[in-house]
Amino acid sequence: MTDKPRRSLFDKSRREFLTAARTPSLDTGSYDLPVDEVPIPPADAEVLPTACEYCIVGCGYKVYRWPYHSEGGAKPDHNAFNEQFPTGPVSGKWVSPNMHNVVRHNGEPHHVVILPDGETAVNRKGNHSVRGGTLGLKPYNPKRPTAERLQTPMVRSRGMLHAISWEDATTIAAELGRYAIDKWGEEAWGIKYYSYQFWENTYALTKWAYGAVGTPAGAEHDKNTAANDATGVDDAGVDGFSYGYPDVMEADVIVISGSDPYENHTILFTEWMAPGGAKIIQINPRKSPTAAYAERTGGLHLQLTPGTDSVLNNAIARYILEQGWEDSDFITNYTVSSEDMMKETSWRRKRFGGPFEDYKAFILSDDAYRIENAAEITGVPAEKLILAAKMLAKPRGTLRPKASFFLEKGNYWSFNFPNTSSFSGLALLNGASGRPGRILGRLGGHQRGMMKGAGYPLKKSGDLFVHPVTGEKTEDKLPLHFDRHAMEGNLRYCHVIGHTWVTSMSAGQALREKIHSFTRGHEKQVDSLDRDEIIAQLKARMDAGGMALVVQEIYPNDLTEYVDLVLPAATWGETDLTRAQGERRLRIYSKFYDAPGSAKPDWWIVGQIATKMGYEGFAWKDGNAVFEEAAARSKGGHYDYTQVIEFARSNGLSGHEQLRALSTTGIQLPARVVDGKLTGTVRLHDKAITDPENHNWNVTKHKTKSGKAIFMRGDWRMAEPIFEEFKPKDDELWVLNGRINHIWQTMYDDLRKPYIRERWPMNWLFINFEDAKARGIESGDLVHVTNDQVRDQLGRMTKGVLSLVAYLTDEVAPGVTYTYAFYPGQNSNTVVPAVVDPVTAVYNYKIGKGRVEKAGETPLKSVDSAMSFIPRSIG
Amino acid sequence: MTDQKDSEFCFSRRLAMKGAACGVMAASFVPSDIVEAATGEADLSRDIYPELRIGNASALIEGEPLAFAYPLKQQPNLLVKLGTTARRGVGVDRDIVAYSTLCPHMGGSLRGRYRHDVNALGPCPFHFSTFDLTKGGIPVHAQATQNLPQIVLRLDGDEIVAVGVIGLIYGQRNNLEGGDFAEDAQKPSGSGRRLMRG
Ligand code: SF4
Ligand code: FES
Repeated sequence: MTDKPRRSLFDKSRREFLTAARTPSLDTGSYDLPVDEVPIPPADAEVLPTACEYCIVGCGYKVYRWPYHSEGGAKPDHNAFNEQFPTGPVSGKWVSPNMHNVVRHNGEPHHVVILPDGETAVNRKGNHSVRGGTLGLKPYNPKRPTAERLQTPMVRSRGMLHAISWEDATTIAAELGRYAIDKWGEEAWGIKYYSYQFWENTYALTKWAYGAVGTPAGAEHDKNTAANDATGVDDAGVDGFSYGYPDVMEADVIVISGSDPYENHTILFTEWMAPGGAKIIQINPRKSPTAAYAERTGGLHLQLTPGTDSVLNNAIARYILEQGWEDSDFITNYTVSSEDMMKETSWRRKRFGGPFEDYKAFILSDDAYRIENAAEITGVPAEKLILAAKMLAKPRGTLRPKASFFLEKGNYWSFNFPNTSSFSGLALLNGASGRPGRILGRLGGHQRGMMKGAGYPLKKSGDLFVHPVTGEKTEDKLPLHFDRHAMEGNLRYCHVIGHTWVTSMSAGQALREKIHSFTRGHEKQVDSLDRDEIIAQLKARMDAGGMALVVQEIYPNDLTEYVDLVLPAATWGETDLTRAQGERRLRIYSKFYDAPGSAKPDWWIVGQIATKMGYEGFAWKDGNAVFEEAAARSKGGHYDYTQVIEFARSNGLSGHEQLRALSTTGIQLPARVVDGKLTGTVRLHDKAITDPENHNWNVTKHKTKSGKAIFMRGDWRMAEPIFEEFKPKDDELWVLNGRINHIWQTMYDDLRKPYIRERWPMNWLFINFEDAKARGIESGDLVHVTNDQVRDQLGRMTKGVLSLVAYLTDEVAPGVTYTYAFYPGQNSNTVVPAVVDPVTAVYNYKIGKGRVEKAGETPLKSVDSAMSFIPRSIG
Repeated sequence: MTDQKDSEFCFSRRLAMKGAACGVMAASFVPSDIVEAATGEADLSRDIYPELRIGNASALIEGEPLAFAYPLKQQPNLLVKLGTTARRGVGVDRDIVAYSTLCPHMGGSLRGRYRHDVNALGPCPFHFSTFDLTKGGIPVHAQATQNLPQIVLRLDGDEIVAVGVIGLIYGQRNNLEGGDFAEDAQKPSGSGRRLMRG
C-alpha cells in the first residue's frame, strides 16, 4: 500500500510537488517516542502569560523559560511551581513530556514548558484538552517535524521555489497587485484570509484589502464569501458570544445543535458544562462522546437525518406552542413588536423576521412541523421530540426550566439560513438569549481573532438574492462568491494569508484544477531570479488570463504547491499578539522565542506591501502600534477596548504591556474604567447588567434597531429542494465531515505532533457496522468514496473521489458516514457539491455523499499499528 | 508521596501476589499500614527499571484485571489477559498486557474501569479519557497528552515479569523518583531497561 504512488490530478507537475509532509503516513508502528523523564523549570525560570493557540475557549497558559543547561529539582523551593514532585492528582503542576520543548531565545537554546495555567478564570485547576496540552510540540525545533517551517521568502522559478530577499518579495507582490488593480479594477485583486489569527494581523489585512484596495473579492478562511456564520442568530440580534462560562453552569437543560463540546470546546464542557449538571439534549447525526455522555446522564440524543434540523427545531417549537409553554414574559419584554420591525433596514430581517405572532403563525402553517411528520422527515422518534419539548419548556410548578441553546458548524454549515433561524426561533421561544442559564449562543470554533480595519464593500458585489421557493429575482445584495469569481478567471492577483483555500472548499477538486490552470499549470512561467524579470513574466501571465498567487504561511501546504511567491510568517509565540476568546476575554499571547529564519509577523508583511503599493497608514513600528490603532475600530461594539488603551496610557504602559499585566485572565470586553478600575462585561443582552457610568454601550440590548430580539423564520421549504436533489440515492451513503477531539483545523500543527498523528495517521471513514457488513468492510480496510453528483462552482456536474481508512462504529447511524473535514491530502470536501445557501450564499459543507467500496487493506489493521478502532461512542 | 492526600489514590497498597494465590488476586490487597519498609533501595539503580514478578500467565482469567504497584510502591497498575492479541502483549496469544491506572491527563484513577467488551480502560471519572489496551494505550478519546503508560512485560517460563514502563507516569518528572520501589522489586539480572530522558 505504501509503495503504491498516489494518483495526482496533474501528472505533468506531480514530481515537483512538495507533498512529502502531507501524504497520509500509514505508519504501522509508533513513531511517537515516549519518554519517561521530563525537565521541570528551576525556581528562577522566567514566566510569560499566553493563551491557547487553538479553540474558542482560549485556555490560559504560562510559558516557563530557562537556559538549556539547567533544570529544576523535585523539592518545592527547587522548582518554579513551588511544588513537591511527584505531584498529586489535579495539581495543575504536572508537566507532560509533550508540554516541553527546546527553543532559541535571543539566539541561545532554552527549555520551555507550556503549562495550562490554573490561575486563569477560564481553565481552572490547570485543566486542558489534548490540543492545548500538546502546545509544547508547536514551537519550531530543527530536531523535530517543525523543522519544515517556512523560513525565507521564496519565488517559484522553473518549477522550484528559490530564496529571495524580503525587499524583492514585497516589491514583487506590490507591483503585481498594483498592475492588477490598475488594469482590471480592484475586483481582479483577491484576498483569502484567516479570520482568527490575532487582531494585529486581521486589522492590518482588512484595512489593506477593504479600506485601501477596496476589493469585493475577499473571503474569510472557512467561507466562499464574506458572509455571516450563524446568520439566523445574528439576524435575531443576538451576539453568538454574549455569555460568560459561569452563566452556562446555571442552566437546567442545554440544547446543543451540530457540535460536540467535549471534543471541540473541551474546557467549556469539562470545567463548566458538565459540572453545572444540566441535562443535555444533543442534536447531531453522530453519537459522539457528548451524545454518549448526554444519554448516560439523563439527557437525550436526537440523532437526526443530516440536514433536517429546521424540521426538528420547528417541530419542537410547534409542540411547545400547542401546549402554550412559550416564555411569554421574555417574549413581551425582550422581543420585537410589528412596530419595532418597521425600523429595520436589513432585507433578510424584513423578509424573514418579525414579532412572535408572525413566527407562531408560520410554525403552525406548515404540516411538516407536526410531530408525526417531523419524526418521519428527521428520523427521530416522535416520543423523543416530545420529550425534548417537555424537558425544555414544561413548567415545573410555577417555574420554567432554564434552557440554553448552543449551535455550531454541524448546524450552520448545513442549510445555513433555515437551520440557524429555526434554532434561534426555538431559543427565543424558551426565553434564551443572554441571561444566566438562558443563553442562545455559538459554541464557537476558533477564537475571536478578527478586528476589522475596514468593512466589506457590499455595494460593489454583483451577486443578488433569488428567492429559492418563489423564484423571485431581487435587488438584495449578496457578498461576492469568491471561489466562483476566481474560477471564472476574474482574479489576476490573489493573496492568501494563513489558509489552504483550494482543498478546504466544497467541490475542492474542481477548484483546485482551475486554480492550478491559472498558476502553476499556466503556460507562462517564471524562469529567472531577477526581480524585474520575475515581475515582467508574471505580468505576462496575468495578461494572458492567468493569475499571480502569493501566499503568507508558516508551513508548506496544499496551496503552496501552486504558489508563485511564498512569504514566511512568524506566529504564536514568536511575536506579541492579541485576541479575545469565547467570553470576549482579551489577552496577550506573549512572544517567548525567536521566529525561525527570517519569518515576519503577517501585519508587518502586509504593511510593507501596502506601503509599496502607495497606500498610507501601513508603516507601523511594531505590533503594539497596530493594536493601539485598531482600538478606534472597536469603539461602540461588543469588543470595545478603547478604554483598555486609555487605562494603559494612564499607567504609563503600552497596550500590550497592560494586557501582560492582566495575565491569563485578561478582561472581558467591552471594558470600561469604573472607579479607577478596568471593568469587563460578563454578558450581553441582559437587562440586569447595569452601566453605571453610562457609556452608552448597548450591552443590555439586542443588536437590532429597537434593541429587541427578532423571531427569524427558518423555513424547511427553502432547504427541501436541495436536500432532495443531493441526498444519497440507491446504495449511496451520507459522507459528513467535521472536527474530532485531537485535531485542530487543517492540521498545520498536528501534522508535526507525532503523538496526534499516531492516533489519526490518515483520514478515516466512520461507518456503521451494518453498512460495513453489506460492503464486506472491516476496520482498517482501505475504502474509496465516489460521488458522481459534485456540482462545482460553475454549475458543472463533476465527480469527487476520496480514499480513507474504514473505522466501524455505532457513532454513526446506518446510512451515515463521517470523516475529518480538513485532513491534508484527503480533503473530504472533494465529495461535497458546491451548493450554497440561497439566502446567505455560504456553502453547505454537510451535503456530501457517495458510494463506499472496499479497496484493500491498510497496515493500520495490524496489531502493531497504534491507531485505535474502538468505537468512541462507548462513553 | 506516601502521604498522598486523596484517599481515592491509595498508592501505597500492594498486591500480595505469590504463587498459587494468583488466581484470586483481584481483591487481595494488603492495607498499607502493615506493609513493611522499602526493599533495599541501595541495591537498585535510579535510572534502570527494577524487575518485578507479578504472577503466572496460566493463572490469569481472561477479562479479570489484577492490580499491582510498579516500579514504585505508589504507582498503581493493572495486569489483564485481554483475550485478543495486543500491542506488546505477552503469552502464547500475545494478549497479556499491563498499564498504569493513573490517567495521564490529570491523574484520575482508572481503577475498576476496565471494559472487557471493547478492551478499553475508562472513561476516567474526571474528564472521561478512555484508552485502548490493545494498541499500546492510545486514546479512544482523551484529553491526555500521552498514551496510557504501558508496563513492559517479559515472560519467564510461566511467570510474568514487569521490566519497565513506556511513557511518563502521571505526577512524576521521572518514573523512578520520589518513592520506594515496589515490594519485591529486584535489580535486573541482565542489562535492564533504561529510563528514557526527554
Ligand atoms: S479547550 Fe480549547 S483553548 Fe482549551 S486547551 Fe483545549 S484547545 Fe486550547
Ligand atoms: S484526569 Fe483523566 S481525563 Fe482528566
